[in-house]
Amino acid sequence: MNVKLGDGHGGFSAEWARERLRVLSSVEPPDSLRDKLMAGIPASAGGQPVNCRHRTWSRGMWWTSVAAVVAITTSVVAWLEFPWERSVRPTVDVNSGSGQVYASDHNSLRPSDSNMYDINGLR
Amino acid sequence: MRDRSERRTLAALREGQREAYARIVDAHYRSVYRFLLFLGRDASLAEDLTQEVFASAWRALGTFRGESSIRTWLHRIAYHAFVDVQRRRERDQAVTGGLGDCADNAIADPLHGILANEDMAEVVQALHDLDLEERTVLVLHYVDGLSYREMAEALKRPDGTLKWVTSRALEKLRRRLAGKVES
Repeated sequence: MNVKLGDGHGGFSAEWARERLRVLSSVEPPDSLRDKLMAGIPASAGGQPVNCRHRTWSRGMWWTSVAAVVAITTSVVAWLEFPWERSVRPTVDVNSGSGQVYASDHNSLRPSDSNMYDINGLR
Repeated sequence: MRDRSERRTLAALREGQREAYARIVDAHYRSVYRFLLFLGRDASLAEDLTQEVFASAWRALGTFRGESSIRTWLHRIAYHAFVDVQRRRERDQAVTGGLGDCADNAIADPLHGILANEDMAEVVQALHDLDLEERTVLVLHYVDGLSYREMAEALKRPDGTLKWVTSRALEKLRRRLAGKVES
């Protein structure tokens, strides 16, 4: 055994320990292991691209995304163009602040609220 | 990702080129096997886990971003596979009250054949007497030749810490080996 003496560690240096460890790198796996690993290569290898995050989108995905963007944009534009369909618009209150009439809600009007149509009834 | 050739290999893997898979196996299976062999001192376990490591790598290829080298990545998978098995064994031992100990398996282990060399057997025994963290860094650095930076990537720990752990582990190993030689 190759032992270095006089290194202050009772004759066995750190380098001696390192060398002994490095000897372990000469250990080889059994030959059969390589064959098993080669047999374990996925069947998809050999032409089929691996399904991974970096893969470009398929054509179907692309057109679906385009359709979704167009639909969303159209909806937003429509909503901005025709705000009265969604928002509540108070009509001009001729008489007083308490008599608000909502143009979109004719059926729920009470007689006291509809005095804007009753010009003759003005006091 | 370390170099251009590795980037090309990774691209070839993603394209599903069989030769690229074979290249990766040839380049790394020995070091992955040795790493697992000296962590667990069990040749059949090392063989099984090496296959598991590569199978996991192929499955996870899509999520590998290439920020580390393929070698580092494989060692990282190997380390986690070993830790999982060890935890499972510890759980089983707790349940069976110590039956099925590794030491029982070691008698029939092919490692005994490999380690007919007395020098090697001493080192393997001394390594096994260390704790897992110390054994891991010594095998990665001195047996498989990973740099501290690669070890840091594989174990997700700062390389400064790993340098310190490695030096402490080497000193422990040296003392144990010296003790064996002197006795």
